[in-house]
Amino acid sequence: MCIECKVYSTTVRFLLYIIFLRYVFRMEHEATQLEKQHVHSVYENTAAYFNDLQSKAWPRVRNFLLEQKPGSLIADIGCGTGKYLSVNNQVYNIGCDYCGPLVEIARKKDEEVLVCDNLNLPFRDQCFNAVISIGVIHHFSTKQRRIKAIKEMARVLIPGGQMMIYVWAMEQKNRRFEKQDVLVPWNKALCSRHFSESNQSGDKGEFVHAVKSQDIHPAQLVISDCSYQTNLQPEIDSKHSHNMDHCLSRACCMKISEEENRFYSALGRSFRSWFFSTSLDESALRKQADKMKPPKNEGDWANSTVPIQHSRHCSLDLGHRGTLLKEQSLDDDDVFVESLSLKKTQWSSATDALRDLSLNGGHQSVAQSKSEEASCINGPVEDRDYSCGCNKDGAGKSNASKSSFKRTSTTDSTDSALDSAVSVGDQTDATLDTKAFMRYYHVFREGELCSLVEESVPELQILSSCYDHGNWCIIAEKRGT
Amino acid sequence: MVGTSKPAPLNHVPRSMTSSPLRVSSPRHGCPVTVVTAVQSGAAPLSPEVTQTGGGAGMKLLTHNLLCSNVRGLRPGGGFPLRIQASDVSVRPVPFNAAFVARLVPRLRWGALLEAAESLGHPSELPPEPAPDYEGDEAFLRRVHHVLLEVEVLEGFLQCPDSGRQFPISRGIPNMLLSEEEA
Repeated sequence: MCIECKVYSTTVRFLLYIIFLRYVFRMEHEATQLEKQHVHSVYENTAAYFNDLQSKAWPRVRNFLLEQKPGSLIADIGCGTGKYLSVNNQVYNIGCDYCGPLVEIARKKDEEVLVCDNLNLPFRDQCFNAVISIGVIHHFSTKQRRIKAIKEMARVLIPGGQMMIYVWAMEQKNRRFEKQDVLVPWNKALCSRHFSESNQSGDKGEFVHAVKSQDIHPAQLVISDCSYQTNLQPEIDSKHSHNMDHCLSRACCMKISEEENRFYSALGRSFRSWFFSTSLDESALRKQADKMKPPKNEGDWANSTVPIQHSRHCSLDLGHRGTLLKEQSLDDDDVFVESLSLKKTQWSSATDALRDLSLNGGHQSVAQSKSEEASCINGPVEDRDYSCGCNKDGAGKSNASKSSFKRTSTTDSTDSALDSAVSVGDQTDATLDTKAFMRYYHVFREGELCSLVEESVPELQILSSCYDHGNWCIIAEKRGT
Repeated sequence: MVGTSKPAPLNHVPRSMTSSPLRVSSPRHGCPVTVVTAVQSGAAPLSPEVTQTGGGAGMKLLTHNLLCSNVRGLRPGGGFPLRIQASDVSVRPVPFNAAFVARLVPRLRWGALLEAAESLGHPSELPPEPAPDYEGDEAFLRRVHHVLLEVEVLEGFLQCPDSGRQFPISRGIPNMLLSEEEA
């Protein structure tokens, strides 16, 4: 090739490389931004509520910890309030978490804790006999970060030491996540403190109990704090007009400041170009109405917890457009479908929403699945504390809930939700004082965690893997002697 | 008197009080201070600076022995051990478990432990290396137990030996997070 061509092709290659590097850095930056917004800041802001929860330790995790030899050094990476740090007092437990407020709570319980980053653990190599990571790495927004987190934990393990990892599963009993990368609203109603306030049952931490005592539909209870407070009956909400009046409030759960919209749009666009089938998508908000009962008093609502939103997002990423993983009927479809971009423009586009809705089909009956989910959230380990033991009840109630919710769900048409969404957009910030805490999760498919470790963390050998109440769990051992 | 670096104080702390944590504030000039330790060690003279407070938990030296700096670009091993600059140290009795301590001994970086104990004003009366028969030596194990588990740093800094970066300890919690630039 002639000199000019050589120079040209070299320059082009160089420029492409620079662009690639920029994308890589930007990707990493956006990943950290996403996690900052939808993991760290949520936990920081909601830490106070974790304090009151009667969090139960998961039996399998407990057993894993109790099986460790006396005198062992054990690390709980992502320990939160430290509930696993006191399971086995024959070993020395160190907990660490990114979230300062949660660590403070653990410290007050006299646990040995510190604040650090899972991706950059401040421990020397090979110092722990065992490491646990319970409901943590599903908060990392890219595969590379998840791998890095696991590798860091493997680094601090002694050869022969074991690691237990729990992540939220995409495959749930009664529902399916539409996507692997989801935003899940944090629901204050699940917190015991809130229960004692709103339920007036004085019962702390027992979600099921509260439900029973109040004889209120689990889904209602969980979904919408406001509805609970106002004691709305499902039938009331069936009126379209009611929804119209209060959709605004529902929709304002979704924090949609202009700035955030731009952020999310940009984020969505960026991620869309970088991720494939499990990418974070741009999305319009799906209508929530079926789950959300409008409050009579908007003021109350504003102070209430953020209900679990079931926004559907347009699947714009490659190969997954409109794909819904369903193994059951639409009625049982999953509610946790949130995705990132809260584009105001998409909100105001009624036609889009309608199209979404029609694509979604019977997703309005998400309420029904929600009924089980709300009370029996086979969710990430931390949420399961709230729903511990409620599966039976949930199942029992599900039939009843199904019928009632079917009735209700028809009321919440996308139209009303969208109309409300539109009106929300017009509202001033003053009315949008309810902060919507949306937590980012990458839910794992069956086998995904195993493949991740096998392919990218060769220093670990998987000993066992199982599905435990909506979570994928593996135990792996550090190779070497 | 063994281990004291100050003149004998005027008052003893009654044994009954040793069940609560004793807060020791380092004097401004940074002289190490002796502290009354747990019941097992027997009552010892207290310096006047010792104040007894409710005191929360603090970072134990066993934890410190596992910590290293995670700053980027350090020399291999350059991040360990972190130097402790403590402004608030407390001592709290912990039930002694000989077997537990004996199992911990081989896991420790011994030199770092001695250094840390010294820097907190607990010249630990420990040998430069554990004796081969340490497992049966209860007196030795009790001294190890004391420095590992009963001395706690409530406030101060952990300094990376290589980079000088300081990680704060507040309310007994070390914060090892790096900024985005450092990470």
